[in-house]
Amino acid sequence: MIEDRTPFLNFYIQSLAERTREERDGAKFGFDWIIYNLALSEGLIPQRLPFFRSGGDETAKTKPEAEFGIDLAFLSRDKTKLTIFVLKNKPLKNTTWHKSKFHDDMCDALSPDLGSTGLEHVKEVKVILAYNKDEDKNGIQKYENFVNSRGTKVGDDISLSFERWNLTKLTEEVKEKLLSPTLLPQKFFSLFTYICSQFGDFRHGSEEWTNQLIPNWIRFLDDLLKDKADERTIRLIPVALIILQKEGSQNPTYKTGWIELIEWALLSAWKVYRSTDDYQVKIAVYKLWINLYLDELEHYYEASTERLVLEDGLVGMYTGSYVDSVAASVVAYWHIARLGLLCLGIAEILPELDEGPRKEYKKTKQKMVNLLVALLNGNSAAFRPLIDLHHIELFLVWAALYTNGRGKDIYAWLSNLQQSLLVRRAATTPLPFIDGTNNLELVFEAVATGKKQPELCENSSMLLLCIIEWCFSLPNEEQRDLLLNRYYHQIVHAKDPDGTPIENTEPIDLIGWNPPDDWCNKVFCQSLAGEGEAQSLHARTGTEEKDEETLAQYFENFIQQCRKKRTISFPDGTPISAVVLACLKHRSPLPAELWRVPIFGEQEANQEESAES
Amino acid sequence: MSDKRISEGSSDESTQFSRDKKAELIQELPQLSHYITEILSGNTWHPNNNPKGETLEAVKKEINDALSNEKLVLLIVKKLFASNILKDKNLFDLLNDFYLSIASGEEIKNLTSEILHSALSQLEKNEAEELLNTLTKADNFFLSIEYLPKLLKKFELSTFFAAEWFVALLERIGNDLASGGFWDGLKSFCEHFPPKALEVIKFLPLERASQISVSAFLLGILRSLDLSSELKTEVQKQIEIFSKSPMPQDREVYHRSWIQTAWCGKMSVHELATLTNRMSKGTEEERAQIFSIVCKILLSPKGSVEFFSHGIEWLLDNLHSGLPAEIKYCMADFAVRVGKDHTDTAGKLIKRILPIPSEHQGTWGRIEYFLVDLSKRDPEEFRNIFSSLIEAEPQSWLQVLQSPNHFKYLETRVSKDEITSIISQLLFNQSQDCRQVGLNLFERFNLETLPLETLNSICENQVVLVFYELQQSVIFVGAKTQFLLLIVSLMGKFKKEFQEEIYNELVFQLKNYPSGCMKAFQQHSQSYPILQQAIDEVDKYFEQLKETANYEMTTMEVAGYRRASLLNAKKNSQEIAKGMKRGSSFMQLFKTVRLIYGKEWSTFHAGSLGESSELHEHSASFELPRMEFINPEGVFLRRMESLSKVRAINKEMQND
Repeated sequence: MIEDRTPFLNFYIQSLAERTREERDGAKFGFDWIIYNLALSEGLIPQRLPFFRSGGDETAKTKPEAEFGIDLAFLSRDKTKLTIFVLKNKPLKNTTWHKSKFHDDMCDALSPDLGSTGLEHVKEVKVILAYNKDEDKNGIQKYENFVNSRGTKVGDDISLSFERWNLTKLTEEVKEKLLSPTLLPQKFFSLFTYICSQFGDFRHGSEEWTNQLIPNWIRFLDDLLKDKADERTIRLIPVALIILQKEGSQNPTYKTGWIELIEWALLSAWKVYRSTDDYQVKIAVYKLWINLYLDELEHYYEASTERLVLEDGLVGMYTGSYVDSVAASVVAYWHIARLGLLCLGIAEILPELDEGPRKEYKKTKQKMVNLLVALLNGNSAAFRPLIDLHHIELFLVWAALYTNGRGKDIYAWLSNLQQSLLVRRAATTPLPFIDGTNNLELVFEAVATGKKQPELCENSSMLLLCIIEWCFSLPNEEQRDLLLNRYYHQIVHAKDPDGTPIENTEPIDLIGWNPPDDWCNKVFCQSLAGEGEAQSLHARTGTEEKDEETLAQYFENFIQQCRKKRTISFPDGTPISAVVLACLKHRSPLPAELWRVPIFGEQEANQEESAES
Repeated sequence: MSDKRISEGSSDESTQFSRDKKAELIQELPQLSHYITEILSGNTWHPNNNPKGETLEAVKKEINDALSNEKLVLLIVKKLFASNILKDKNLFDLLNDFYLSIASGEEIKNLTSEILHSALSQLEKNEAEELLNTLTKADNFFLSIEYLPKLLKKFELSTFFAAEWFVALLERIGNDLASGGFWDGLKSFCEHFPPKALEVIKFLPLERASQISVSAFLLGILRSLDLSSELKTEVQKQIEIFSKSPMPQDREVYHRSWIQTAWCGKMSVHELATLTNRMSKGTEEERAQIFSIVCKILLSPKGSVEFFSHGIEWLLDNLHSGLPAEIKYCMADFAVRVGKDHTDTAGKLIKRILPIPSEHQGTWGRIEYFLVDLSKRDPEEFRNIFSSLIEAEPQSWLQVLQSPNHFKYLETRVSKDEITSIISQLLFNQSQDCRQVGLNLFERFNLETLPLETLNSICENQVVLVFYELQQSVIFVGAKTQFLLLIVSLMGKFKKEFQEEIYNELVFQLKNYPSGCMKAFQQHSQSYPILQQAIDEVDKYFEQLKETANYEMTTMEVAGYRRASLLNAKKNSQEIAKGMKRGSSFMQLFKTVRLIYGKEWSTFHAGSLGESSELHEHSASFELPRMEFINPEGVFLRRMESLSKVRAINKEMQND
């Protein structure tokens, strides 16, 4: 969990304009809204506002009147104390004191019209200079000089005092008093409040969660990042998440649920990243990925190590039926995916880090890989892929082990996985084999009723082809061939270890997949399962294959031809881990180049494409 | 005989039989004793409940006197029915009431038959046969056919009627076993009117099974009778026709006719040999029929020892495991029937027909009956035969024993003492299937230990084998725990590697059955430190799971899980309900009513509302193996590993 929320709040408040207003290219969020809400939280009564208050999902309209230095003014409940805010979204420096009208506005603010209606009982005036940037020594000196020169009275009887709220003070105030949906711009208030209450109520993973909260959250993110999202909107994402974290803390599943919300938010942010040319925005997204997502995952798994390394630690639900086995697998694969993404994410940022942080991250990565291995060792559910898309999680396991040079572990892992799959392939348990339609409901139904719906597809698999290709990453060729044979003969062709065909089974069709040409643009937005090119591998019957061709040669040949046929490029500047997350969330298959590049080397350019270019 | 009963269904005014009229008639029969007067008045008589103190002997004597006095019978009939004999099924209902009015049956049955014959004799032939035709509709049909043996001795039926009527009666009987009266009647008819019987045979078409049965029966009886030479020649001619006919039905009549001939004691060993030889070379159907015909022939009480031995020898030579289910049933049934006097033969016959699929419940039921009966008669022989049957086809026994509905009778009727030695023998057997059967029986009979001499004599490899069998078996926690405790008690004898395996198994089962296993192991943990060690390890495992139970990684929900759990629970409860119905004779007999409201119930039946009864709740629970659902693949692989270890040890032992 994010223990220190200050940096995110800091970044957000710092990024805000002085005033909230609608502009041609979208809403500009100002910190006037924050000040207004802080004052309300103190029980003050608005006396002067820079905007017209409006409906829940609209941006407040700026008043076209002269402010005379007073951006906002509030009266205490007893109407004796007037608090005046002078807002600046500039740093307080010697150079800005006059240039950015700190001085002028402060002077104006000192002359409120105390004779106007409602102010007749005022006995005390406080002027607060609030600016959402930093300051320097000279700036402060200017301010001090100004305050000292103004005395302590307005007129004869009314006392005068000053306060200065810089970015730090503003952040502290917000942290203390305003971590609620009201912190967000007014137009998001109602939807976000609704999301907060759902986050507090719905258990993570439940049908309500999936069918109500997630669509609402995606809608919120779309609203937030629509039009031309700027740095401020990106900075708003963690603030919204921090508020959600606070609001949902009573929910027993809020920790994993929060991670899932972060993931959807990050996908939206990566969409912005791909569409913007604004370097600051790109930096902000990248920082979110590392400091919000990866760091949060790290904190979460650091805190959960005890349970993860425990034997059967992921078994939560228990009704004494095979339905539990399916549920345990879903939970296990959820965690495998996050640990895998964390390992991969860290591996990707390592080269860009300075030596000190690199050392730290390296350590963390090592720790997380060990944790992943402990999870695999302690939980049999980790060897129970239920749907074909579980190849994403399995890829992450492979990637974590491969990037850490753990070839022996890859062999042991693939070997155990083959054993578990063989048990299901032989239908010796009520668990169906991997569903090619990726429909968990069908899997649940088959296990619960003992009847497989005709839609359940056990005869086509990309997952198995992925595993077969990962076998090529084994440094020991003997082990590679052994595994290739076991997967191909026992799992694909359903033969028992003696070579006897398993009754009532048919060979599985191996399916490869090439993403569509524009996949880089689409991968963060939608599922690509229905796009691209599926490649069906003709099952070797043993009679027509070339005598001398080994299984390894057969698959190598297939891989080579695939790679020759088309070049697959990856989204520029986007971490692979973010791409994998996008596939995971949008239920897209993974492009095989993700593992083919590390195993077989860089792809040769497509001959035709090269000629054309 | 109530007035209501007599008037029921009798639409003809003249056939009304009122109590007043009957009383009047009785007055005119002074020679009738008190007993008959009472019966005719519609009262019943029972030796324990007769206020006038008449003895049963006195009553029987009076009936016998009446039977020997045709005039008296005629007079009773005349007076009973006046001039109007009932001409429909009511006559039989009336006679049945008359018959049932006395506790002791044979004499009154004879008298009733006599009355029936007398009544029929007073009618025109066609009227009488018309009346007999209504017999199939009599309320108590099976009682009514009891009069046939006496009746058909005297009453000559016309050929056409006899042929049709016998078949109709047989079809009315269907599969009911209470058909003795009919067959005895047929025999009477044949013995007393052989030319008519021959005509019936010639007349009967052989299109239906019932027609073939009647023809075969009559032909078999005719063959055994001492007939005039002329009739004998005719019968012989008919036999030849059937025997040589190209029509399979004709030949079936011929083959089956030997059953009756044998039952009349007129079949020779040579004829049996000829028959079996002929049928063995016949069509496929004939080759299948021969077994049931031979069995029925051999059940004849009049066959000689040589005759019986020859038949049994033939059966043993020709029976094999590939025979159709109905023949196997027939043989199992035959084994039960001859088992009392020829136990060893019965055992051999059953052994020949193994394996029997577990779904053939009828056949297994007969075998079970044979075994239970044998266990009561000769426990030693029971042990020998039962273990030899299992050893002959352990796989077949294993399948049938794994079905919980089978062999419940044996389980309740055979004591632990009678079966313990068989189980010991099976558990440490060379055959893997025998060991599995042994474990199954160990569970069924709730054994806790084995005979000391067995435990002292077994070697480590034998225990290792049965230990691996235990890992593969699907027996319940109780038996598994008991058996493990048994192995733990022998721990000192074993090598270190095997001791480690036992320890791992203890840990696994404690995790698998945290309730049942834990309780049993805790009880013995003082005596065996290894149990305490395993308990401590597993306690730690559960403690850690408990401590970390609140981690949200296990509290997160899985979409679809709730619905699937409900579906699964629904499916299970349906299966349990079905299983309960299958396993309970009561539930099969009675209609199940779902009382959708209330906590008491009463029924409205036959016009009256019964008393309220409270509803009681019954429940049963058992512990499911936890690991089966946590790690189904692992549990299966574990079983496979045990299996391969068993194979390796077997191979090793063979090589040695």
